[in-house]
Amino acid sequence: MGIIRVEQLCKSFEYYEKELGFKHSLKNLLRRKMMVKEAVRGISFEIEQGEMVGFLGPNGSGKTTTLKMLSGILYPTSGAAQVFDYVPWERKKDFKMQFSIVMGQKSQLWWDLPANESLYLNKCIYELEDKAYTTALAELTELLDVKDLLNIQVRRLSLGERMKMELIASLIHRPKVIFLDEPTIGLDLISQKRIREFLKYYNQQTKSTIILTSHYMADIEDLCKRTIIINQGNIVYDGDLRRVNELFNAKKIIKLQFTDEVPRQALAGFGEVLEHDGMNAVLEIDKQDLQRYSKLMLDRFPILDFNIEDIPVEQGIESLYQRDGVRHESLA
Amino acid sequence: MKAWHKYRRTYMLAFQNAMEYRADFLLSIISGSFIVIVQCFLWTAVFSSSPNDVINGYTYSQMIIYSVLSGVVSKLVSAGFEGEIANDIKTGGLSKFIAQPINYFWYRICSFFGGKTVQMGIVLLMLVVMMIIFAQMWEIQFGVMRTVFFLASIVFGLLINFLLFYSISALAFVVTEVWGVFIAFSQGVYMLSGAVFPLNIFGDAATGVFSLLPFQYIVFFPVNIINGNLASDAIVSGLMIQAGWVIALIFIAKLCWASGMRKYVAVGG
Amino acid sequence: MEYSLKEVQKHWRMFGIFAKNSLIGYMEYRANFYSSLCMEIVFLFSKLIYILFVFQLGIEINGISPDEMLIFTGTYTIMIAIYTGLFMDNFYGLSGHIRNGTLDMYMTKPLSLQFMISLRHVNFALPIPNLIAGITMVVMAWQRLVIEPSFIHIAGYIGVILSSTIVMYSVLLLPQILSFWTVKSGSITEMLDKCWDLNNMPMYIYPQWLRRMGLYVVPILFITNMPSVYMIERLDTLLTVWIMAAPVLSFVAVRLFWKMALKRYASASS
Repeated sequence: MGIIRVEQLCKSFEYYEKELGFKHSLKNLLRRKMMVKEAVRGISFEIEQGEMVGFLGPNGSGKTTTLKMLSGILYPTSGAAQVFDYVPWERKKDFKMQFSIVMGQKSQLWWDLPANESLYLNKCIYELEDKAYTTALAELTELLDVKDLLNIQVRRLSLGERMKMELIASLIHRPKVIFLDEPTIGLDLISQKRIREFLKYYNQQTKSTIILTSHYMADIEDLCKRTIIINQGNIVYDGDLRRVNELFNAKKIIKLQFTDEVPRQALAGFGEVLEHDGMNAVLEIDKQDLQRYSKLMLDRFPILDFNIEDIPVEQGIESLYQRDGVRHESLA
Repeated sequence: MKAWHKYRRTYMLAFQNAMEYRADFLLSIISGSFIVIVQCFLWTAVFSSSPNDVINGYTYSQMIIYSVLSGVVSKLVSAGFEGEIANDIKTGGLSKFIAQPINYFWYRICSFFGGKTVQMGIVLLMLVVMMIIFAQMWEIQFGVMRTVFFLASIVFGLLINFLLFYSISALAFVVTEVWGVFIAFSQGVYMLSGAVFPLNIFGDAATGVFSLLPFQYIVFFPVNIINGNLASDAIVSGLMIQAGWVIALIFIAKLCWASGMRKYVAVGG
Repeated sequence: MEYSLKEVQKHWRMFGIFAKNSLIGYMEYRANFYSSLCMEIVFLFSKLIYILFVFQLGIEINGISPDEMLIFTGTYTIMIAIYTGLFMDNFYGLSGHIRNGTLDMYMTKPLSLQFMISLRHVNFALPIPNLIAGITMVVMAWQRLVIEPSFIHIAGYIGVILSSTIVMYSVLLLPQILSFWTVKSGSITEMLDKCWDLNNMPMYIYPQWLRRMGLYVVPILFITNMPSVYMIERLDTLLTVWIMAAPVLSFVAVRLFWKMALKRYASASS
């Protein structure tokens, strides 16, 4: 049985339509038009202990709302969820002691104090013994390489350093379940990589269960075997990210470089021309035609270079966003 | 004159802005009226407990009129732009005014009066209503001349208050954390202007000291005109002193800003 | 959240750490500290004007002598010290926590959320002048009235101050909770804030109806008047019972309202 179980979870909320202007605000005083937004529309999944799962989806797709429900911040409109054996939104103390949520844009550190004061605060909040605290702190600061920064005011730290401190603050009580909402947002590439490496190591070492949302494909590609793609409140894909394209596997990308100019029309018959500037072209071609067409093209055009590629993951996902319906890859 | 155009524009902008926030202003009048209520109850209790009908030269009706009108006038003349100026100085927004052919002082004064016009309208309306009520209650004649003098003295009071706050805002050139000083200063001006109590109830010595300061010409003096506590020659000489203070404060403001600007330009904002 | 002894101890300890952290913060911004201090001193003076005036006048007002008046002003000033020191910054910060979403973070912590939000910061600058002036006034009034304060007397006074503090916490937190519903709770809060000015003078200057309203309906007059009323021995049975009951009732009320607001927050936001 999974450590996190979600069944038909829905979340909708009401809001009022706002129109600008004085006349409208007068009108709004009398009667406001109520709107319902369905942020999460009946999602179900199960996550085993020790798994690291990525949530992927465009802005407003319902990723963060789902995480908030799983951490008990929000009540669902309907549906059920269990983390360990707790219902998150009952907000039991024992539940809170065992998990952690990190939100990339919301800090829990005291801005004007050195980070270790905030960490000590969390020690007391989570009722840690001195020994457990010092060993956890030593280990985490070592891993993230921030030992020397503990005594510096948080506001003087760089964004990357601050994020590392946020992570330490959230992991100091060794939570068994960790929710990470955009942990690498706004960071430079090196910091992103450091944090990714850390998360990977931490997940392997502690067998903790991690759910991660991110805008950056690289985060998820690198870290998560399993990805749940959410769009408009629905799960559109649940499985290995690298195999997203198998859903669209009917197509391949061909990149061509010519020694002489080739007009666009000459290429159009082979497939969809994605890019073209005379000397270079990118085409999308059906898989079954690949062999035949490649030969034909090599014969017909003055080709300098010829490359066959898979459709990039991003593009596969984008097409996923555009279609409805749920597609589950079997979790073999 | 072309140069006038930009200042008229500033005035209009501030005017529109104030129109947007007129509901806030009305609310702040309501919440500001609590302190007036406290004073009215206090005076009622004092006059009913005291064997005298006149306390410190005020009859009961005069005292109530004083309490209400001083609340209104102090609301009217209140500044509130010192924070904006400090921000301009701190964030370098002032550089814009050095670079562009617009004078910061005139920009501020146009903006100040632009914002006050709407409030003036509301307050004058309230004043008329209150004066009618008072006139009915105690059969008091306010008189046209007195009202004209009263309005003139409010304009002078506005100017004095503006110049005081404009001068003190130059502090932001020197001190970084000025907001506390500003709040303290505005609270100080509030007290010394006579918005809490009529200044002459604290004895002759205190009255003497207050008369040497510009603050009492912001609230105490205008309200006493309408209250009928001043003879006409006292009113005229008071108005002259107000004008004198306006001129003096213009020089003080210029001085403060000149020295602040030197520092600002040297550091390179 | 369980209300076991262990939990209470933990919350006490946490409060100590909050206070310590706030103090470290003040060391960081000393200019800010002095700036606040200077501001508060001026405000203190503007409140002292009233008592100054009363002594100047030198008559009993509605049966209260100037010396008794001094007890009221002193107690009022002490209550301001408690409010500005413990509550004010936190109460005004609530809407910010909601807007920035830091509230979400705190919600996942194994600690009472209301406790964490409402007692997170301790202000060290503002209460200093008030506490000094307030205690001085009360002690001065004792001496002038030739009251020999017995231990019971002082313990009782402190007890009533505690009761008032709980009422103050509840009454002043209540309107801030409105910010869960609307961003523009500012004007309501400001109104109540100005209501506080009613305490500039002892409640005896007010007519009966206003006094009753300020004691029993919106107990804003309760907060600063009760300790003094106890001191000058004007307490009747009804008021004695009310001193015990008001803190319980108002605290329960604010607690229920808080829970209601949170429930709404958890179901209505995304």
